[in-house]
Amino acid sequence: MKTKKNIFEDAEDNLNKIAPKLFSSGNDIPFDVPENYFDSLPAIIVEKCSNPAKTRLAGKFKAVLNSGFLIPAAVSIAVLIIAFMIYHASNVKTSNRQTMAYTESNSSAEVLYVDSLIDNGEMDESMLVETAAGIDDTSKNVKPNSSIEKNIAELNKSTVILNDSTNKVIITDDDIINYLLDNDDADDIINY
Amino acid sequence: MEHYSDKELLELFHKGDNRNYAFNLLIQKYQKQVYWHIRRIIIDHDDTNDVTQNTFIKVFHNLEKFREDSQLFTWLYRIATNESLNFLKQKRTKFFLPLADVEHQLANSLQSDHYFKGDAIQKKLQMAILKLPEKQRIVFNMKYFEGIKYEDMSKILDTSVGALKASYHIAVKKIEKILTDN
Repeated sequence: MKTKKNIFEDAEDNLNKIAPKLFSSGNDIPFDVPENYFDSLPAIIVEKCSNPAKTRLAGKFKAVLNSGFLIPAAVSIAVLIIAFMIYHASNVKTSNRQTMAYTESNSSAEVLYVDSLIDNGEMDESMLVETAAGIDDTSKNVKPNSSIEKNIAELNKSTVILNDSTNKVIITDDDIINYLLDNDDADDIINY
Repeated sequence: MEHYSDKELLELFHKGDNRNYAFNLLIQKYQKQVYWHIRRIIIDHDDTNDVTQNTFIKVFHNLEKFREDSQLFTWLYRIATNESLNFLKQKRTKFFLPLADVEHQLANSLQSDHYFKGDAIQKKLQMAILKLPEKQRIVFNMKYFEGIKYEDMSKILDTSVGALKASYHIAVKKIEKILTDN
C-alpha cells in the first residue's frame, strides 16, 4: 500500500509519470544576463562593502527615485502652493472691497453727513459698524486680524464705516462735499 | 581562477590582511548560484541585481559571526532567500498591493523581460510557477531547477523535510494542471 511518504516522493522520483508536461518542459535556465555581468559583479560588491556610507547614500537616493511617490508628492505640493496663492490673492481683493472705518471724531464732516443720513431715514444706525475697542490712532494700534480692522489701519481718520452686509451704503468724498455745499458749511469744506 | 574550499576562504577572510581579496573569491564562487536563486523569485534582472548585491554586502558584514556549524552555502542561500522575500514584502507595502498583485506584476515583468531567452513552453512554465504561493514557489524552484536536497532546503527555509516534500508534490501537481488546462 502506498503511504503518504511514498506519494510525496513520487514527485521527486517519478516526475515523468505524475507530471509529463512539466517533465518535458525541462529545467534549463530561461533567463539571461547583460554581457560580462558576472565578471564585474564581485568588484562592484567589494567596492560597496569598503565604502558603506557612499553605498547608503546612493541606495537612499535610488530608493527615493524608485519609490513611485516622488511625482505624486511633487504634484501635491505644487497644487497646495497654487491653492494658497489663489486664496491669498482673493483675500486681498476682498479686503480692498471692504468698506471704510468710522472714527469717533466729533468734528469731522463725515460724521455730520452720516448723522444727516440717519436723521433723514436714508441710513439705519444699526448699519454703522463699531470700531474695535481701544483703537484711537488708526495708524498704530490696529492689528489687522480682520478685514475691517485692516482697513482702519490703512485709511485716514476722516473716513466712514459701512456695514458690509447686503444693505450697503457707499459714501464717497463727493457725497460729503455735496452735503457740505448744500448746507453752506463752507468752513467745514475748507477744513475737509 | 583558483578554487578554494569554504574553509580556506573563511580562514583567508578571518586573517584580515586580504579580507577584500578573500571576499572577492567567495563572491566569484557563489555569485551565479545566489543570483539565479534570487532571479527565480524576483524575475526582473535589475531588481535581482540589487538584491544580490545586498545579500553579499550582508554576508560581508556578518561573516565574522558565521558559526561554521552549517555549510557556507546554506547560510548564503538563507540570507538570499530572506532578502528576496523582504524585497517582495517591501514592494507590497510600498504600493499597498495585495498579495496577488505582486505576483501579477512579476508575471507582467516576465512578459516584457528583455533577458528572457526561453521558448513559449518555458514561458508557460514560468507563468505557471508564478501562480504558486510564495514559499511553495521557492521550494519548487530549489528542487526542480537547482536540485537542492531536502535536508539542505530544510536548513535554508527552516521547515521540516516532510513539509518540504509535501509542498513540492503539491506544487508539481498544480503546475501540471495549469500546463494541461492551457
